[in-house]
Amino acid sequence: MGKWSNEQYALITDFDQNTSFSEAFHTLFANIRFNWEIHSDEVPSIHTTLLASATEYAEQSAIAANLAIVAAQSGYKTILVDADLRSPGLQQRFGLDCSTGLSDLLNEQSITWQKVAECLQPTFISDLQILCSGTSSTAGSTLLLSPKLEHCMECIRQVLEQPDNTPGIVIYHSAPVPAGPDASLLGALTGQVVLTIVSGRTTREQAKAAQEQLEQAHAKVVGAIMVDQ
Amino acid sequence: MELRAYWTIIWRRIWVVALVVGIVALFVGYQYYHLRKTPGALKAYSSTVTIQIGLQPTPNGDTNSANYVITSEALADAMVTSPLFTTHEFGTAVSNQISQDVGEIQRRFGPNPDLGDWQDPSAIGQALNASRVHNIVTITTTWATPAGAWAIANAVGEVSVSNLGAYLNYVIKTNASQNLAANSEPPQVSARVISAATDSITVVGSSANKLTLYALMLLVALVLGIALTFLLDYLDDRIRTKEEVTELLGIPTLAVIPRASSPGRTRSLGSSK
Repeated sequence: MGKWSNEQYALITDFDQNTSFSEAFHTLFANIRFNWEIHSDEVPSIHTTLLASATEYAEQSAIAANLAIVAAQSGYKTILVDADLRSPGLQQRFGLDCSTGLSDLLNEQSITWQKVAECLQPTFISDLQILCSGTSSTAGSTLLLSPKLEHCMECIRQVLEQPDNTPGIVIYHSAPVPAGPDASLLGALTGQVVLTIVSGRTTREQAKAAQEQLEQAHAKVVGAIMVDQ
Repeated sequence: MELRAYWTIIWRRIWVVALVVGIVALFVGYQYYHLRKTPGALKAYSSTVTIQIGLQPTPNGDTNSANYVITSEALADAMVTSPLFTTHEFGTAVSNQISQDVGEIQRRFGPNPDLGDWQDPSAIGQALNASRVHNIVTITTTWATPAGAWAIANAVGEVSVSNLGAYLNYVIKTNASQNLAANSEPPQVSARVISAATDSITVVGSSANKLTLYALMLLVALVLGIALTFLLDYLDDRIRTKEEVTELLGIPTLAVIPRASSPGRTRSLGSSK
């Protein structure tokens, strides 16, 4: 389970809207949106984005959480998926307990959007729901290698399409790219991947290796987030 | 690369510059402290005495004045170039002369004049420097205290007048042995003070040039520290700017997330309960 400590990044709801910290996430979401519009002839109503770190970075989940908050506050129905099955705990950022989630869905015989909807937890942000990592103890990459992953991700999309097909976004938070194939497996099935680079910590070698690993899985790496340490 | 980029590299590892300069500054400070404590190291005093070297006429009367002039100059040259002033005997003689001159020294410099280490013959020898023009020898004394400089210069003049024959007569014997008749006595060395010891003046101390060296060391330390920051930056593989990301990965940087300040967290956590 993830830990909550004083050193953790705060959520942007703790800040005024006009702080540089808050503005940075609005800029990030805006640029992600621009990428949809530039790279797609027909803009789908539901978008999927994976945030993956090029190196071990404990605050990666805060980046994903903040992006999800901005997306929801911008009027997009948003589902934040904690796909970091190696070091779960994203729901703690929102003060939620761990319940059934992604790993439990992947262990199901059949996955439907209704089952996914049952696993979603509402947050204090309207239009933002969380699918936590789940309670299954099976190792992360083993579950993500399951052929059911693609169908599961499709079901998560379908939840957002209900009932009125308003614009929405699914944001996946995965384990760091070097940790294993998790990010590659998820990246191959998402519309775009954003790579997190931690300034002064991520080495050139790690960044290049992460990009190559993602591209080998045919993931669409559209940009990077630079995090100041 | 822009100047600002250079400055960023230096500022990122300013501690390296501070460390190198700090270590050298400690060393320099320690050395400077000792220089300040060492008398005469940074500031000294100088007094000069001028002596004329000549020959005493002999009873059998050598009338060749040209020989006298040549020999006088040879004597002056021997006095200047030989290690006469650095010998223990000369230093001891000067030291003894100072002890006899105490009365005059006290008249000039008060009842308790600071003469420095005047009883050390080797220190006296190292304080003396001589030069000559023909048979006129100027002896300069550089000493840590004004009273000591004058006292030594004065004593050197007196010792030279009284004892020079003992030190330099061998020169005459060597030069004259071929020209004199067998029953002739060679002339004796004579010396007279033609300008008494001058009042002490302030001069630069013997170690004053070390201050320039120390300043240079600090400058070199600064340059070395800056060079080290560039070397460390060159060896550092970590990404620091979004330009590096674009150059390396060929993808845009969608956002730069700044360091978060520390707001209260009760809003987000509390409202979820």
